[in-house]
Amino acid sequence: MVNYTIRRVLLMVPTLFFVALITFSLAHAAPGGPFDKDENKKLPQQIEDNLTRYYGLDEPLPQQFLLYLGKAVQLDFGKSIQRNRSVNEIIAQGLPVTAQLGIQALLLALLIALPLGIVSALKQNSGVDYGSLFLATIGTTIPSFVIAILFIYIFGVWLRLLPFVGWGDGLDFRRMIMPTVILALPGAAFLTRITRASMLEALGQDYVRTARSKGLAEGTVIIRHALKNALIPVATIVGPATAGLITGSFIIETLFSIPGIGRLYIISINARDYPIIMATTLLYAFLIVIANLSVDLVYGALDPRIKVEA
Amino acid sequence: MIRRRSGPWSIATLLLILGLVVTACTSAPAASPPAADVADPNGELITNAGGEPDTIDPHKASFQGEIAVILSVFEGLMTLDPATLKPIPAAAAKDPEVSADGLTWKVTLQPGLKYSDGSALTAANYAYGFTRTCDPATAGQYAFVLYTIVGCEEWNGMDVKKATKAELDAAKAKLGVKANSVTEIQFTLKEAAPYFKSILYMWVGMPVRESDVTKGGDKWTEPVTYIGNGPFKMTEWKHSEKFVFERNDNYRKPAKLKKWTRVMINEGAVAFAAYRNNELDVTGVGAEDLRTVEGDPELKAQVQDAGALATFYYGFNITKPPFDDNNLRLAFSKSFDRAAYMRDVQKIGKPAEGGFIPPGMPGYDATDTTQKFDVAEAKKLFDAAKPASKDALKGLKFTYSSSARTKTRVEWVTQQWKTNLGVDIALDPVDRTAYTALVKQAATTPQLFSLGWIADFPDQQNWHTTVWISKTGVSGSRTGYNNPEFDKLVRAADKEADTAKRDAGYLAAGKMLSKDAPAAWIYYDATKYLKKPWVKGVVNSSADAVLGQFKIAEIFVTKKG
Repeated sequence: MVNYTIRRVLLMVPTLFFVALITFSLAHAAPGGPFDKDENKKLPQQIEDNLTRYYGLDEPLPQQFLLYLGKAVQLDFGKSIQRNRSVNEIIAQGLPVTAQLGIQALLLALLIALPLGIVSALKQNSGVDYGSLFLATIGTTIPSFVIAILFIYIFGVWLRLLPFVGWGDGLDFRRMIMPTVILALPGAAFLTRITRASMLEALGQDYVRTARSKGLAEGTVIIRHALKNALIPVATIVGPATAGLITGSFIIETLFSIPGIGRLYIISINARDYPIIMATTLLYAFLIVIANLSVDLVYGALDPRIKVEA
Repeated sequence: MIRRRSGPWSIATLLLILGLVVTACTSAPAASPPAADVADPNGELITNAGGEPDTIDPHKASFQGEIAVILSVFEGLMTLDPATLKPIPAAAAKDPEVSADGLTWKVTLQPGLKYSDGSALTAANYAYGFTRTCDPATAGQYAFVLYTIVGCEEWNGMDVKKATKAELDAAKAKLGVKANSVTEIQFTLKEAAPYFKSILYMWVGMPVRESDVTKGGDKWTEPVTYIGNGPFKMTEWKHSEKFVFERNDNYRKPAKLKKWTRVMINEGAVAFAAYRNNELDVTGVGAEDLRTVEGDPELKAQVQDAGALATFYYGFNITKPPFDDNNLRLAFSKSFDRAAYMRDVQKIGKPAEGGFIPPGMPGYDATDTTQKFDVAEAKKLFDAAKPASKDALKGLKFTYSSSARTKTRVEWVTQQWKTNLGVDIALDPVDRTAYTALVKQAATTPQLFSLGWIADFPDQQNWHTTVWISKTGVSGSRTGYNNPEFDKLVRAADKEADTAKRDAGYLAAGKMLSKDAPAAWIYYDATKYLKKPWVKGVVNSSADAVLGQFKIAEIFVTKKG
């Protein structure tokens, strides 16, 4: 297990290198550059040259890439062209907010999805099952910006129960409710369906019948035998979903004016802010790799037949 | 000046989503009417800064939201009179003294000026501000407005990586900016430039302190070193969330507001909700939102009109067929029903029924009717166009920077030409950054495309010369417009000391420009916003895109009830 983990961690190096190379090439291949901010304005050539030099974009691309790598290895991700601030600082300020929101949403999603999925499977075609199906359908089909605006109007403006502008210090519970719930909703809906399906499948397996026939208590059968197996597909999904949630949501952060990094992904691409594009993509790639590794390790715990030593 | 695009979802979309039921129940809690127009000495104003600004460094900034912050914290030598948009003294004690040849400008500061931390402000601080903008190492986007100062263009054009320190220092030494004494600053210009007086209001000349820039480095724009001499001081900048400004008690005429918070709500529909909740005292109104606002008597009473000093136009690439033909360009221009476009599509602003310069600006010419909507005349011009050019209309595309909003607008536009001239035009949406790169020069500029110009400073020079002079003009270069007569007229007017002659020169140039029609003027922009009844003392001007920004010290709030 230890060897396996070490090997997987070492494999991250080439993975991240290729992610960096591909992202760098694609970002620079996109038409227009970071100083093409506004079609109505045209910078005089020498001013654009000054900016180009200021941000080191005058060097040949391969050299820029190598310089970038050299610094990135030392965890210096350069300076945002759009914001004229250190990328490290921007991410250091935004990531905790985004990660907190993401983790809260993930926990909430699991908290809703697991019990609901299990109960739906156990009481197939019951009221709970239909209720969960209804919720899941709403959660997956209505786009989050619609739900968000609806919530803002109902709970923010009409009932005046919850604030909806800004994040504060991250300790204000009332500010977190709407963004967390709305961010959790699609995940919760999806996970409920997955949990229900894999639970149903597990309940029909021979080993569950065996467990029941040898007279085990129903609770033990469900938790020890059915649920543990049913969780494998769930874990597969939760891993990458975590990476996605931690890196944030453009829509939720935009609508609730949350100073996270979720917005950076989209904005940096539109602005051709190469250092931010690189940093956010690498961060996402890093988290995905870590998440997948964790999932693989969790498999082993859930099902001893899945050997991580290879 | 550059304007931010508003967010993708309008209030209209929102209402569509919610249906009318919810909105009917969302009337904000009735705010008791303010007792009297008495400023609350502890009054706080909350407005929306939109998104996080790219920079608030006065010598690098270019967007309106950035400039609004700068104009709160710093005060220039001059400011603009909101009524006339003429430059009037601000930190300067009086109008600049200009030598007979128009080349030497001396500005005397008011006595006893201070920074918000109480330290003295001198002419050297202003000199540093102008110098820093010209410095190529600063890489400021607006350096070009100071190119009329001796040595600025040359120094700014140097390659800081290749030039030696001695060369750079020599270029810097030639710059025509110096402090003659503690209170007098002197500028030496390359040529007479009466419009320089308006430039003295701009953010590029703000008296940033060298010690703050040195101390703060890249982070000097954080509150601890972002020390200015304006009506407000910045006390907090929570990135991507909010700015907090407080009254600067060391300002020569303290502001009436105690605190001004600018939150960063990126989304128009959310800002509107926050406004209804009294979490914002002011919020912008987009074209899509007008019907909602006007249908609500309470909101309707809170609508304010301000200017924008912006003209939007459709450019032609005149270097190649079809639009190498002047008749064809005029035919396109005259077959466009601007009044209908404003009524049906754009909604905010005025149809461009005069020349390029919008109303409110010095030099607006209502008598310039060359491009006026007239289908019969347009058809005649169309028939008179060269056959070769008309042939090239086959497969014509209208290229524009794509967004949900532009698409419907552009569809309307192409339909106009289809109806009035019988020309089929395909839509060609391009991502904004790619579009900006595309319209940089005539070699890559599309045949027909959409652009706008927003005043940097209210003078004709910033319109006719900056935009349309051949080869280097912002749009002169990309449409390929090149008329030596026009160039001669504007260059003479740029230098003319006699205001009447100067204005006449620009008027003649403007008429010539409309006839040459390198672009079809479409509309003059305007600004609409909502303001709560307890916000008082706002002096709107035709240049404002941002709340009463030339008299911000006068804004106050009464007790909110």
